[in-house]
Amino acid sequence: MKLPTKGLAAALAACLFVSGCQNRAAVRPAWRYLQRAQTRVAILPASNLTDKAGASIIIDKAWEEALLKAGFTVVNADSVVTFSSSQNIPVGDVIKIPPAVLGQKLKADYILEDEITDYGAKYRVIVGGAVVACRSRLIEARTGALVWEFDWVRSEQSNNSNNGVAGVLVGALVDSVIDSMMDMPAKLARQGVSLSSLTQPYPGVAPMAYRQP
Amino acid sequence: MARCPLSKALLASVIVLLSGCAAPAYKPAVYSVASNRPYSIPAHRMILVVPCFDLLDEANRSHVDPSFNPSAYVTGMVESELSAGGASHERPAFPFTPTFEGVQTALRGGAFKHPGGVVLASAVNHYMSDRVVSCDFILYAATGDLIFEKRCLCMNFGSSGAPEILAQEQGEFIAPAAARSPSGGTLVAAHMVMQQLFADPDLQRVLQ
Repeated sequence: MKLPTKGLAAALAACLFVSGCQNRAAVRPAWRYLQRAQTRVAILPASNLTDKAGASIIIDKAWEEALLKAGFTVVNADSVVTFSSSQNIPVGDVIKIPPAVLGQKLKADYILEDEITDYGAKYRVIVGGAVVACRSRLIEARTGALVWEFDWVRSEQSNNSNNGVAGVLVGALVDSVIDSMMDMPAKLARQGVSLSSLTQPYPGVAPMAYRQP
Repeated sequence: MARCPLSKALLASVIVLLSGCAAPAYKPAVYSVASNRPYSIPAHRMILVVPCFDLLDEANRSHVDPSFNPSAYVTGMVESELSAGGASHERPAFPFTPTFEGVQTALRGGAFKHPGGVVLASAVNHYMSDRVVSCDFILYAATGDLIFEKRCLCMNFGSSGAPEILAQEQGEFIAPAAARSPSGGTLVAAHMVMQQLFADPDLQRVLQ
């Protein structure tokens, strides 16, 4: 059977065009500075300091979903792994690359780093539970400056103590943690600062790399 | 049952005292340029530093010591960085309405005639602690044309900083991890804000 490739390609192109138009037309609330148009966040594979092998994958995926949901463009951890392979750099050493260089290579405005310090089931005298602890940092690629950092730990009691509970915790937790990244700019902007100038680029001026296509 | 008016006054006093204890007034240390700052500031242009505009809200202001003037502090931060970088800078000698638009209007009226000079205006939006700072910066040409703008912010919710913010996130089960300050120093956010400004390649380019 001959596939209607031309038709499919045309349909795909139409979809991309429409989605592109929607993205450009979509106006995010002006007070969400970090979520201004076309902001790209690269998620470095989480540094896992625990003995739970799958923890970093779960954390990375949770961040990816949360950031996408929050409106960011994401360079996910898998892409960073692919990048490190292509450069013959151990994935653990990617974090050592200067942020400006890494940001250019990955075409990212911000770099998200995670360090997992505790993960998994804990057994106590009466009931068991799960705990997840992590340090998350958002670095501005072009300057290497820290924008946001949150050290957090979450534990939850459960009679069904296993690593799966920790995995469930992560999703909800990252949603909560990302609020701390989002809500502060919201609170800041409600103070009356006109951010329209920061979301509408001036002719010939592009203050942020990769901000506009 | 009749209530004793004295007990109400006593209760009010206790509440005031407790609230005062719960939220100690914040005042940063005297600003000093980071010794290991990873950028240099081009010193080719005269930079007019407009005193920073204070846009703190009342909630933020209630956390800071009355003797702490955030706008003067941020202006001092900028001038310290410029001085450390060897850049020529001075304050404007012309009148203007203390807003970004006011500065731009004055410049368009020919208030600043220094050839090649630029004008850096700023606003402090948030200065709650050593770990939470947000400022807006706009650089104008002497003609009033906008040549650079950026919001620089640092929200370093480590474990010991900004407890009033963390409290919103903690809920019943989220708690900050053990105290540590990997970024070092107490002026972390202020230094990061300055780094976001002066290390920005776009600003570096327009200051050349």
